[in-house]
Amino acid sequence: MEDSEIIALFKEDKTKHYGFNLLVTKYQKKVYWLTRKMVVDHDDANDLTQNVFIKVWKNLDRFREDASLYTWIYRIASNECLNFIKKKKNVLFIPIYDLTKELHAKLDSGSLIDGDEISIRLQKAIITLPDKQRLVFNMKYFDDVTYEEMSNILGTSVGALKASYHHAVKKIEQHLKISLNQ
Amino acid sequence: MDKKIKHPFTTSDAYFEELKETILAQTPGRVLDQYGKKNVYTVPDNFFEEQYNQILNKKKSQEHHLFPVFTTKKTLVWVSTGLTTILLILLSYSYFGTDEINDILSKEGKIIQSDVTDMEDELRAPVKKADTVIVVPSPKNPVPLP
Repeated sequence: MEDSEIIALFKEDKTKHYGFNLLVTKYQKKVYWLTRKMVVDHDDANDLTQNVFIKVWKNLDRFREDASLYTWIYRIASNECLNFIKKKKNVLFIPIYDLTKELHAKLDSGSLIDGDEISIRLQKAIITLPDKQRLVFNMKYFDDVTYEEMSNILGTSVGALKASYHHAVKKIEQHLKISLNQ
Repeated sequence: MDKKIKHPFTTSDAYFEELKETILAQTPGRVLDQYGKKNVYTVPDNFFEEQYNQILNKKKSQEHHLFPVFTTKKTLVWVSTGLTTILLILLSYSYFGTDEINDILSKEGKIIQSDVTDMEDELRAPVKKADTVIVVPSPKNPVPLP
């Protein structure tokens, strides 16, 4: 179903809940995978996904259709992820290295992780990136989000996003080369 | 007559391979291309069905919060703040002793009372009259001289 149809259903009192259910069905997996790649832990990703949809439910009435619904939901999800990581760093006073170490340990634990060694290596390299750069990389590399869409989601210029992705790729390649030589 | 047209340029497969290598070397992501885009993360069976229900239940619980002041989180904060205050009062009583605290409170009370009395006295004191009043005539309304 088209986003415009879902919004139209949501705006009618009688079909509001039905519209929301359709929206959750359509975007639930996308939001979950976006958050999962950012926070690695399954339970954290589950909580964040639920929070995203509660925010959508509370604010969809005020949604101005100057951006697409998909962009809007992705923006909420991205902010949720970045705020979650920021809070985690602030509350636990974890320096960046430790958080990276923690996420690496989660990948090594093998809990709800299924991948060959080479894929795990790639994930570990991605985790070493700064948070926003990681978000950009994941969106571009795994979800094939265009730079224009990403610009609307993150409020950053297309040029800056291209540069960010380029740097991310270089850093990951460097990290992979070092880890393979070890 | 079936004439076979010969291509004017001759190139080998090795040439194309080399060209590909050169182009790839100039673009970042060459190493990355070998890794593919495999999602290494998995979820438990029927997770998305369960999550769907969790989202709808959470949404339902949000609707019942007619008074957002009394959400579980906020109520907990209020209760814990209240309990901490009571605990602090009890601790201070047990540390200083009831008599001492009563003493301090009564002394404070006396000081405040004396301040109030002083102010009262000041307010009730008769206003001193000035000995002479100098009236300066303004150019618009000149005061007639006696």
